[in-house]
Amino acid sequence: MRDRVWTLGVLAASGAYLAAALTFPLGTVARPGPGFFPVGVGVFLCLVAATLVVAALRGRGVAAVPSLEAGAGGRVVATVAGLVGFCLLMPWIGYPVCAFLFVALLLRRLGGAGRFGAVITAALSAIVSYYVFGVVLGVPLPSGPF
Amino acid sequence: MGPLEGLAYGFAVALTPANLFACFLGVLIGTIVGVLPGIGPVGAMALLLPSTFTLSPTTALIMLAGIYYGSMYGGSTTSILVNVPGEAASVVTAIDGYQMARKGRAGAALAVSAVGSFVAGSLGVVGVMLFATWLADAALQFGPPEYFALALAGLAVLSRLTGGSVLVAFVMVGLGLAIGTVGMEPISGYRRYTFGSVQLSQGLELVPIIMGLYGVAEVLVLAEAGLRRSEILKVALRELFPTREEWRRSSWPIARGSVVGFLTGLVPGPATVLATFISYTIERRLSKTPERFGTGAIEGVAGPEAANNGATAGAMVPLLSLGIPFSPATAILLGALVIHGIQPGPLLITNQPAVFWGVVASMYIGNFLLLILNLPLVGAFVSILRLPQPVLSTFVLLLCLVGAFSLSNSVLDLWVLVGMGLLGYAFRKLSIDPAPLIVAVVLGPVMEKTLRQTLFMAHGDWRLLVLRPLSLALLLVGVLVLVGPPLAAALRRRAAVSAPVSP
Repeated sequence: MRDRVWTLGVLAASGAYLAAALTFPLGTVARPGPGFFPVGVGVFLCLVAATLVVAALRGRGVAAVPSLEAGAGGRVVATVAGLVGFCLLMPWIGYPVCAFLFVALLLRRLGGAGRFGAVITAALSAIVSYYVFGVVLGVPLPSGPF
Repeated sequence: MGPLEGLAYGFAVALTPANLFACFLGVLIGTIVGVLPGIGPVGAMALLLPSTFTLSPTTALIMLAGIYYGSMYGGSTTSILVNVPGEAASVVTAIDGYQMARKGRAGAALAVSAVGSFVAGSLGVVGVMLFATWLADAALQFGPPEYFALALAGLAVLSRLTGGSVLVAFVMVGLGLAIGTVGMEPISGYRRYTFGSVQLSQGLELVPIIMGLYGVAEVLVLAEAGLRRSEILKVALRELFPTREEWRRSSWPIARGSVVGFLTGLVPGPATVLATFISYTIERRLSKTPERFGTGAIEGVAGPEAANNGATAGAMVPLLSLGIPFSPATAILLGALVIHGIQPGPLLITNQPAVFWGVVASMYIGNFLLLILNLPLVGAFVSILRLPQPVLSTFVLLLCLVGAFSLSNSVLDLWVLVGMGLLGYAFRKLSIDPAPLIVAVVLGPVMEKTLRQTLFMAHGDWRLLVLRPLSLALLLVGVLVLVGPPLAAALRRRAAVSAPVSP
């Protein structure tokens, strides 16, 4: 079942990629245009994906079946939520606050430290990383409204 | 410049204080990365690439290369003492290394592993010196058809050797090529798959892609596994001396492993991992007592450990002589060259002798530093494993985020990092190796450019690809590697079916 889902997903993505490639100027074989190579890649992807779909529909395993340990999903979701939150919030609240919240959340959720330890570690990480990257290496990290 | 003259010049470059420090830092970080299960050399190199922007190209490359080969030393430590391979290339070492440790011979296993790595690394550097200069001279004859054929054959070989289904590896190659087409097309400036975004017209950066697929994905896997502690076997300094018998048993496996590793490194694919399995199989076959393998045979540690270090040296040859990377790690080194404004390719040795010979000489120095670092300080490196995994994972993620942002100060790179992290996690759950994707992202633009140049040159006659002997030979290699094994298997099956059955 999972094989069917991911192979169909690849086929759909390949189809979308090819459809977009067909809108680019194709040129001729003697003077290939910007669409020439993407169309080739799209056709290749669609053919391979279609073969995989057929194999999956026939019940041949094409990749290992994934499994998730009980209770593990929460930690993965929390980590992904932390990453997405970081991307969304950093331009608005700045790097130092964002880094503090990110480290504190993950340490609490992944079980690396107690409440006090998480706050101290998060504060130190935010300050040290901002100093190293923002001040020493000159990366223009957003400082936020503070 | 001849090899000896070049090497002397390289030592003069590599022994400057800045380069010596970069080499030390690189191998130290490499060892730590190798010790830690989780972030591998590829993730670490991608993570540290932005921090090399302020360094000179030679210094940056010396440091990044140090991480690459240094990680092979560190990987064996955890394999032997904890039975947890720090790297995929150290999985084989755990089989006999951990058994030796349980029998109280951890010190001997670590010493043989470090010396084997040193010998292979040093011999590998000699190979790089000789092969790379010869190949670079030969590559001056390459035109667009040959480069296209080489990239195509490289991807074909990589797909076959990555392991698992070839079709799945093809999907990875296709995805990588597709990612490589995002942005402004190099010949006419036409924007593809940019959805009106100015940032996307510059294309997708390689570093967040690699950080996501390796670094973030690995942390997600560790987060899923939760907090786990391993029992770490202790080793005293006085136990680090193998007996005369152990040295005798290790010497030939080290020599064979060095050669096998170097040659495997020249071939596209997961060379460091493949080399260890090939070396282990060879040693087991050649042994008069193969039954000892798996129960603590020192040959099972010496051969593979030499092989994985030899492979890192071999993998540098196509990068430095042709400007073509055949593994994710060398793709990052290529990225570093390009970021620092250096044109990779056969003229690198002539135009940038400081970079080529400086890196080669630094590999000699780095291997010596690693020998010193890895024997007396083994206890210190292993103690890193006592750091709680969640703390380490959180720091790795924070470094990935800052590192990705610092590339072009763009939030888009952060989203690419997260997206690739999720994709990499899905690949890990499906046991799919993303290496072909990374290499295809790098080779895609090269393939497109050389294919279009070939067709321009031949006025649309694609037969030029098969009319030039070298490009034909390269294409045939790719086809043979792809078609050969299933064809041979089919012929064997047919022979078995048609063979007369004895009553």
